Amino acid sequence: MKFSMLKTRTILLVAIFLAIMVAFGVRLMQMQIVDGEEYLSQISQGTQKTQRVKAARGEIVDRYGRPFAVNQVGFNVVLDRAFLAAGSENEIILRLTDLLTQSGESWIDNLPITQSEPFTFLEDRDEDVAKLKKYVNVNEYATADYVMHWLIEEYGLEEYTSEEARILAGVRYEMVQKDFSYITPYVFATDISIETATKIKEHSYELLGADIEQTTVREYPTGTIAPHVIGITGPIYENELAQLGEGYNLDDTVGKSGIELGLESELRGTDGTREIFINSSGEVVDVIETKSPEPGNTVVTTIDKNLQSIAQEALQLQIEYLQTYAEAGKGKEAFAGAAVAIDVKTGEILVAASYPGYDLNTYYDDYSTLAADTVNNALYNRAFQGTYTPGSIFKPATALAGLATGVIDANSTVYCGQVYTRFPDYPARCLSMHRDINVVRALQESCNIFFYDVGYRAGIENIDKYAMALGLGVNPNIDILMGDQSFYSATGTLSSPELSASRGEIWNPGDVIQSAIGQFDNKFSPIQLASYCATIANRGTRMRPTLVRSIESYDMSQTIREHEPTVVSQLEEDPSVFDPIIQGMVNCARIGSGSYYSGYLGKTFADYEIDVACKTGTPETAQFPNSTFIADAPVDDPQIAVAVGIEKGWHGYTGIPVARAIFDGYFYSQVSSETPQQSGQLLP
Amino acid sequence: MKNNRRFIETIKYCCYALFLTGLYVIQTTPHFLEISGVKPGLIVPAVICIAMYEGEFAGGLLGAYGGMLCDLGSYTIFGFHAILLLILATATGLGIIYFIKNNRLNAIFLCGGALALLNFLNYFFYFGIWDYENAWMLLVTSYLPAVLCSILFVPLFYWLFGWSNQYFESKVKE
Repeated sequence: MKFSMLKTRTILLVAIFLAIMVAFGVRLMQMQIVDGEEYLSQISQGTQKTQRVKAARGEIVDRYGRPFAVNQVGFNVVLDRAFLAAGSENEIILRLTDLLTQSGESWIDNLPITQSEPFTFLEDRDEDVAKLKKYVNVNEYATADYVMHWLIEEYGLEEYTSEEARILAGVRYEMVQKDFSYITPYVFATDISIETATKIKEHSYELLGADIEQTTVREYPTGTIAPHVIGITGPIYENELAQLGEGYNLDDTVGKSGIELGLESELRGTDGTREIFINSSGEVVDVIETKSPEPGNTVVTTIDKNLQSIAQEALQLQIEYLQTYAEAGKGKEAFAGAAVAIDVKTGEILVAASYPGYDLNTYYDDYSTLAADTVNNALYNRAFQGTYTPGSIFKPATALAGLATGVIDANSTVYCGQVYTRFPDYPARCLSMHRDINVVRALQESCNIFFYDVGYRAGIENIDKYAMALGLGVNPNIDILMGDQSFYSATGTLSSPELSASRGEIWNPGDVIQSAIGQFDNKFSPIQLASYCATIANRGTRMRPTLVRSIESYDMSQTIREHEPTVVSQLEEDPSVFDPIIQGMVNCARIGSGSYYSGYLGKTFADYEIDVACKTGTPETAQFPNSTFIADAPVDDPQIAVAVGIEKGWHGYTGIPVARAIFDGYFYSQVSSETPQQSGQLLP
Repeated sequence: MKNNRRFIETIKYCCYALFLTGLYVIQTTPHFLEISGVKPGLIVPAVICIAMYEGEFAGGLLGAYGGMLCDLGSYTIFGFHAILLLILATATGLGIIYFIKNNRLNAIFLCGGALALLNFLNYFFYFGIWDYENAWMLLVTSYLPAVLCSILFVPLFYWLFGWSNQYFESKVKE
């Protein structure tokens, strides 16, 4: 009985074993015989890898189609994992570096360690050093020698000399950082000359896996014109990769500042793909482009390149003129400034000049110098981000508050005895004794007492209300045709009891009179001041400033989006309320402070053929007064409004030559065509 | 008495089969019990522990069943795990009867050996012989940690099946 049970059990186990073996055998037979051919063809086909084909970046042009940022054909050296034999990386890299060195070209090497022994970490690369130490998993006190030792071990560089090992470690480390793989080729060197590209092609038989890729290289034909607005591109950082999300890779180039950054999604384009088929021996048997790359869109800015150039030159010449000819303490210290010109009817920004500037073409070479110069701060976009106390150019806003609230009318007078006596313990002064003065003459002669009194009677709430209606103290929200997204600009500050309270300070009655003449906490950017001037010229209709005229297809054959002038706010008051203000500003240009100073240009607005409305401002600062100036023209049919600010420029009128140069450029050397030119057509 | 034993043993093996099915569900639930990308294999140590208590026949049968479950949840050819686990569980049952003491340490060794063998064969047939570049990394970073991770469950299974074996035996004796 026992024997029988054991036998039964054994037979049962063997039977199950055989049954499974049969099932296994049947499955194997199916694979080998029935589906054998299919599997064989799959094996011979090998693996398939999808690679990206980068799209050309869209171009940036001025309002007439003249190029700011374009693409030139360039040559990159690219390492492709699919073609690179395993274990051959170091030899191929050394051959490439030899060839590039012979041709005087460089390759990408961001390893923050010196090129030769004794190895030390590079200065000012603390962040990169920390990242490297994290990568090699050593503590923060590890020396460069120790890190190199680790890299040599990691990349198998023991047999190379220390110089060769350093070169190889630099490239191999960068390859890891850039996620080099079958899917992501590694860009070894960018924008090499055609001669070097040819040389590398000639040696292709010994450089398997290295290839020359024809690509587009960002070029700025006029790199010094509007650099802050146009912006720059650069390699993507890890944190940007996380922010930008899908569609980006570690070897991508993205906009870093200006329009290049703000309109990244339009400029970028859509990458294509190609399939690479590798057989079981690792050889590439076929390459098929499955999706063609679509180039990015072209951005037509509102900037007039010629006018921008004129404004930049005028700003520079005027500041140099002051530095050369002005007396110490009276403008000689001028060192920086900004000028903005805006189309009064549409809000389109024609000029956004910031001095000192820089050259986009040499940006990365000059970066350390530019970034270190914190006094001149050339990288700072003063036109949009700089905020300046406006001084007397704020007076039209106070005048509007007085006129609109009925505190004064065009004929009301205030007695100016040079000292404002309302606050006995705070005798605020005027520069002259104007005696009985009305709003027109008060603007023409910039009488402080008149505006102290009007400001006091109108009250800070009304001053701020009308200032904001004119675009002061509110974010200009510069339109770039990207929906709610706007170009970065400062909001500035308007004096108010709330602002004082937020600093823990008490709002004194005298603060309102200082605010009324554009002092105290009032601070605005040049773009806000230009928009303010344009709104006065428009008699209360404030247009949204815009920096992008249209977004076109890459070849400009199709308009994707176009700027439509947008009214941000409209004063309810009768437009005639602006009459005395504009008259006062016209008088300021003809016989007031607008006619006093000619600067480097040798010309003022006194005898200008076109009627100009202007106002000068001499805001007091901790050191020397700044210069602020606003103007619009022609008065009868306003077209352009300008704001100029010169740091330590001493008096508002020192901005006149810059504004006059811009007006000359706008009215007398304007290009004939205002239609963006299509690709391939000659520019006007 | 005889009929009672047969009935209780049928109940017991059904419970074991259900338990193995439950382990299969746990083992194939994405990210469940996963630590740093390493997921333990639960069926193999369970089958070996069952074989240690239940002998070569029940162990072999449940080994084949557990192997089939493994085959269902993997990309291997159907039958690969079933054959191996049938052999390993039968051998374990016979080994415990004739050569090896039935204790926790031996359970760890036997389960560890079975897991190592199965995982190595898996690696060898599916990666090793194809000479993929850096395939050894897979062995070090995936297979080996999975084996170690699975061994952690052996004491639990050993205790559980020891207890259930005694429980059902006591029921038979009642």
